[in-house]
Amino acid sequence: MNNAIMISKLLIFIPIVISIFIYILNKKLFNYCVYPIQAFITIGVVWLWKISFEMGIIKFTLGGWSKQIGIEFRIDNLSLMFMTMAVIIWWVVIIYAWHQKKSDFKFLFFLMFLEGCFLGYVQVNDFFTLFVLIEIVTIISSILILYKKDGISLKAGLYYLLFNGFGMMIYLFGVALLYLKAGTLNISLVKVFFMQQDYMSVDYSVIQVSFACFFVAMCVKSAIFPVYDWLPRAHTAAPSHISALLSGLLVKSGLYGLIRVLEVYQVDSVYQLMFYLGFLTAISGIFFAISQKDIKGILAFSTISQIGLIIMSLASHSDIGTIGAYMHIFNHFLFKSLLFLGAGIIINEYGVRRVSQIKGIGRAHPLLTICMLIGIFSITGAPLFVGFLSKNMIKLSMTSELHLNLYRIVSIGTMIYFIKFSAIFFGEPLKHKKINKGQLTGVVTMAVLCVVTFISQLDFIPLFLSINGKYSDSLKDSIYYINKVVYGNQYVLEYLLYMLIAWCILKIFVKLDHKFWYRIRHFKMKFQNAIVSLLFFLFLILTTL
Amino acid sequence: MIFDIILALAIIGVAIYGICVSDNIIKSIICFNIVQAAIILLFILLAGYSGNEIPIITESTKSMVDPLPQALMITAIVISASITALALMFSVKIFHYYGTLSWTELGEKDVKK
Repeated sequence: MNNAIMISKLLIFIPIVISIFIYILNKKLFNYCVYPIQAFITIGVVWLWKISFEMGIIKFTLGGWSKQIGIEFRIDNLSLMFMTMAVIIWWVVIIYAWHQKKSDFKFLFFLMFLEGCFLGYVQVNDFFTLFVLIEIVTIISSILILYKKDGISLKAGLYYLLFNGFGMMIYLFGVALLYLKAGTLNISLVKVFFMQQDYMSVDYSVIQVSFACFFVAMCVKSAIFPVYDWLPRAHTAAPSHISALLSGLLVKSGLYGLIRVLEVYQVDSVYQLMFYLGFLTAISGIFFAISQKDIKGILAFSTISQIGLIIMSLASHSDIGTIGAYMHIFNHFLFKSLLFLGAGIIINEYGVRRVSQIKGIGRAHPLLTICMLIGIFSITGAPLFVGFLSKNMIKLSMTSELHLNLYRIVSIGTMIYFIKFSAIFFGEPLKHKKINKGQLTGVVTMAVLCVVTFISQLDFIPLFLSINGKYSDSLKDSIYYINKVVYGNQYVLEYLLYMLIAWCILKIFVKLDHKFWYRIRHFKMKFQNAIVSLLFFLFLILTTL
Repeated sequence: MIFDIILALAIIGVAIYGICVSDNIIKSIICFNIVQAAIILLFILLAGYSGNEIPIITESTKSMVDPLPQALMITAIVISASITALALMFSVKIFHYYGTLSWTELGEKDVKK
């Protein structure tokens, strides 16, 4: 246990301290020490996995204070999953961006500092420390977004910073109300406090307001329907490797907080609303993605639609839905970062971002095409690719026929914009430049991880299961069911049928020069309107409780 | 006690109204800062009714105020200051680049490009 305590402290301290040294020393040679740090973090996370297999959840308090007032760390399998994701994406980003950034000590400073803070964020078990770390993550990622310092990225960075900052202010309001009632901010103790209280007997309204505040703040961080407008701006304006980091991992920091908040409060009345919020998020993401002409715009809006799918799955509030959501978080992380990194290479080479102006990637770069096709097949949920299993689990978690049909609509919508996206592979190549080896290595690593994850995903299921500590019989049945049908023929047919429908819709209905699609493409909320919609959203949640 | 809390909530309300109606980025940042300050004030007020002495342990201390919220709020003040500083820096850069600080005009320039 002592080892675990030491490692989990060092995982936060080492990247932060070394990043400060990188900034102060400003030596080209010293920049290479990000590789040993990464190696250390990798070993540390693997070691933590091993310890948590042997001893269960790792818990300790910093500085010997009592749980009530100290900062407690609690590392369960969900935290470890996020830590694993962080290790992978930071390796890939460093390798991918190394040829441009190896002498850029400021960039490396922010990158490594962000890693330390993120690793802290997924370990702490305390609402206030969660707030502090998520704010630091917001601040640093906004600096990384406007790293190019052109007009659009400056605007996107400011919008991101202020809007997310405002969301977290609502969170702080919730913290104040929670502390008033519960007298502590430790997540485990708050959970125990809620279990002891009889919901009807005490004055529950203050606690409900605090739940609404937490919920809304986490929805802002994870870009749910009325409050997602910061995401496409930030993700299209940022450099490609930062987009991969944001879209793959940092969006999910909101989902992580949401899972924790829902776990503590156990408010049943919100799930019905959450499903429809998830559906609206997914469908609006799909409409915007179809209307886009920008290659990174399509990917950014696709992130919104996939987040909506994850929320739909979480809202089913069943074991299989929750586990499907966890698996889809991991899988979406793999293929979305893969696609963003690949898009970065293409934009670098062609110098344009319009889908219609990019042609012939398939002929010019076969390896890149194979990797990106793996990503596309995965995100559309094709059999034998990584998204298939998690999407099927989400499908199984849909309770009624209506929900199932809504899921099908989202699934077909995803295919529509990826068929549009895949137009870049065909045709005669316009230019032919050699791709940098480091960039290609990053993309290929992610593609290989996609394949490996698919092959071993059935073995992973018990890991995901132990996140909640429950292993009910119905879940066992459904897992056997999944085991049986993974290689079933009817899924291939279903997939091809959906593909055909999607292709028909794309050819018949989607005319991008039409007024309707033009309006959708140029729809942008003003900052004031976004704040008003955020307040409206808060009001909506308060009324449903 | 009720009066203090209503006052803090009223400051939050006024500042949010300011964010919703002002078109200037600097005004938005100022209002944002006021919201943060008012929430911090509210937190300290809510915790301040637990006692009536300052949280320093001496021989005569009987009912001291809960010190934890004050310790937490110092961190929150630091965060609010850093967000404000960063946002002001961004708005300076935006002004150099576009020559305006109005959200509306910035949005229009975006569409043209």
